[in-house]
Amino acid sequence: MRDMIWDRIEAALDADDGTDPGDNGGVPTPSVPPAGIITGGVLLLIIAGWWFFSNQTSPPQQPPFPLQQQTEKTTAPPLPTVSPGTRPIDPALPAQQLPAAAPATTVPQQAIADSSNSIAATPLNKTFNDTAPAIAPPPVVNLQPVVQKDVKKDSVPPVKRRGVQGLTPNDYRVVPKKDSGQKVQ
Amino acid sequence: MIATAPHIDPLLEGCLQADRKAQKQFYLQYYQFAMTIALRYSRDEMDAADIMSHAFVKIFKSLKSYDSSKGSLHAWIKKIVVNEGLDHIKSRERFSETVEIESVPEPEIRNEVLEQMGADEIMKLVQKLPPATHAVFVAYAVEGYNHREIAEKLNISEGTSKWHLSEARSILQKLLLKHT
Repeated sequence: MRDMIWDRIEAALDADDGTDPGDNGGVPTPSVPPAGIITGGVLLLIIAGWWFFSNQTSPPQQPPFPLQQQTEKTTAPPLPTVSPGTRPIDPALPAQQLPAAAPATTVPQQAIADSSNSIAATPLNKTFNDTAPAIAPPPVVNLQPVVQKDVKKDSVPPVKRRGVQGLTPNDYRVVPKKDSGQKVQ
Repeated sequence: MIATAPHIDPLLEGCLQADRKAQKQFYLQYYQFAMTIALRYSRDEMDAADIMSHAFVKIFKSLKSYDSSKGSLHAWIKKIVVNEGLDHIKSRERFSETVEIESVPEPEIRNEVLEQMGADEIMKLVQKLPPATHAVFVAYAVEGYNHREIAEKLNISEGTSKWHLSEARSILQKLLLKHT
């Protein structure tokens, strides 16, 4: 009991000495700011590192979206027939992403240049309603012939000529001799 | 100016310079004396420990103000411990101002019963009093304060102090009868 009480007294006296600015020349107080600065610096480093790596890893996440839009467009036949002006705006399938996806496909550059001229200078979000109807049909229409030509070239093998060149059927013809006098059956 | 016994002077000098070793020696030297006073104002040892720790911190902080020409060091320490004990009870118990009396009837105390009891047994009975009544009884009967002084220390009226004293005597009388 006696020692416990003394411990309390000593702790109270130490606390009073630490908080009194006149005592000890303010020795305990400088130890507090470095700890706060260190923890603050560590936190800043962690946040900066996280921000840096998150910015580095974010660009590879974008390509899957245009690729998915492209596959949907190429496989969907009714797109050219539907008039864009009467189509309600579907946030899940924005028409403005078609020009952005087109350069990554096998569409000829002339068709892309026609459709992307008006979009390249303007932000994507602002041109959503105005540019999408005019741009959407051309890449889809031009895509099909190009793909079919490639398929024919790849699937049809080159024609090989048989036989020895320079010979004609007359060279193989058997002509009966006139001297035998017998009929050939 | 501090002027006490020669063997105390070095301790006091060390305590004035906030020397922990000197302070601990001083504490050990006055521990029993202060603990006896603290126990009068507490219900158990833990209460007394609270009073002691607060009192000695106050002693070490205000040792510069001790004037030996006005009284002994014992009396000065006793005053601080008593005040701390009363403050402890005040913080623990709200005193009721609704009950006031002007005169305190003297209860009939059987002296033969008191003679058969030791000091410790009597103090244990006193510790069974309600805190406010306990504080007034100890301040009046043990420390020797009058009702005006008790009223000032506890921030109560003299009539309330008298009521608590009467209540203490009544309860103690019942406890003594039960004890026999």
